[in-house]
Amino acid sequence: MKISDEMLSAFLDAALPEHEMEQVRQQLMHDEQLTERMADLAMVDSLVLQHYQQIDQQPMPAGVLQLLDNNEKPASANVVAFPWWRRAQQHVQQHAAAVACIALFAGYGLSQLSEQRQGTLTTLNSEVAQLLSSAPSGHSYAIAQQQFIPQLSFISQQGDFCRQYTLQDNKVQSENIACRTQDKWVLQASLSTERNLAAGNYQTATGGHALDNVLDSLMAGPALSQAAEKQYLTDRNTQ
Amino acid sequence: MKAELKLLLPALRRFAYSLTGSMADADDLLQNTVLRLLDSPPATGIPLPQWAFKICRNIWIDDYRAQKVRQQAANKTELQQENFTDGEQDMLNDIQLAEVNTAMNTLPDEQREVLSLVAVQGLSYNEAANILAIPAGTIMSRLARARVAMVNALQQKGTLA
Repeated sequence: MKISDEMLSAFLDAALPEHEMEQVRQQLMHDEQLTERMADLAMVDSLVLQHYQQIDQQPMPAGVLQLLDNNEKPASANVVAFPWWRRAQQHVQQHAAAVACIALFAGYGLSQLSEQRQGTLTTLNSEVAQLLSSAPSGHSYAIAQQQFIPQLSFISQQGDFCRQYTLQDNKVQSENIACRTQDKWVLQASLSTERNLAAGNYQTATGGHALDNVLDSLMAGPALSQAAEKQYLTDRNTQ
Repeated sequence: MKAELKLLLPALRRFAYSLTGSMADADDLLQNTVLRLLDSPPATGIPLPQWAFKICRNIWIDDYRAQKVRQQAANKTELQQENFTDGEQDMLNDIQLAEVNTAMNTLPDEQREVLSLVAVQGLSYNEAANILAIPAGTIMSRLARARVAMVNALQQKGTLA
């Protein structure tokens, strides 16, 4: 009886009727080539399993665990997280990202803000892009009537250079995350809040951690050190 | 359901990895699968694992396969592997395992998903058939073709003698 590869394959999984299992067993006892063939087929499973088990050595993404730890999604109604995994399939235009931010802002009293005002702080314009590519974190930089304050840099799980930064004018402050993808800065998340200047200073509605969940889901590791960020900015500017 | 889903995460993640061939894409796929599951839990009587793998596979087909992510990953296999050497595996072993992913990337989708469910997840033919909504006999034939294709590819690369 000729034992086909399909039978051998099913034999490995004990998925044949018992009489066929016995036929294969009997033939294996006398047919060395068949035994070698079965060993090869069995090795495929072993190698495939060994290869894909490697992902077990990597920590489970914090964003996924968070989904199952509480009832909140990383991108809450208040924070706009653009689905970063879709970036490969669609080139997100900067103005489209800004519009999406504005459209989805909810809470934090944002309904009181005009779209125009929100837009000035959530649009990733060329000046912001320039500073994102060159300005070290921890300093404040003036842009027209606004202040640009880069807070930290990190590498995303996609391997992109990303930055969290604040933009503010005298009435509104936005927290933002942008990543440089294919030599273009793309806004990943943005949240605007009104500044409270009544007491002579301001305070964000969230204490500055509004985008933490988004950061957790984006970051591949810890934030870049000053030196690493500097190196990255230098490399980027010399490319 | 969340507790049960949490227990299922490692298996679901391995499945996602075996489908996408890229750890980064696998984690994206995993996250989107979990989001979808939370929005659309299984109907009464449908086991969560079966539903979860089905959702994961559907998202992969809808969103990832069309992007040919796997083909891109195939071109960067060496880059994907270099971060995951723990020092205990020797270089030869790493190269052999990298060839496995390259070979997987050459399989037709319907063979790849069957091999993933049976070889990586250890599912029975009937369980795989339920997830893929195809007869168990089709699982058997696709699986055999997948294994044979893998043997041929790995023998060409010298990973298998």
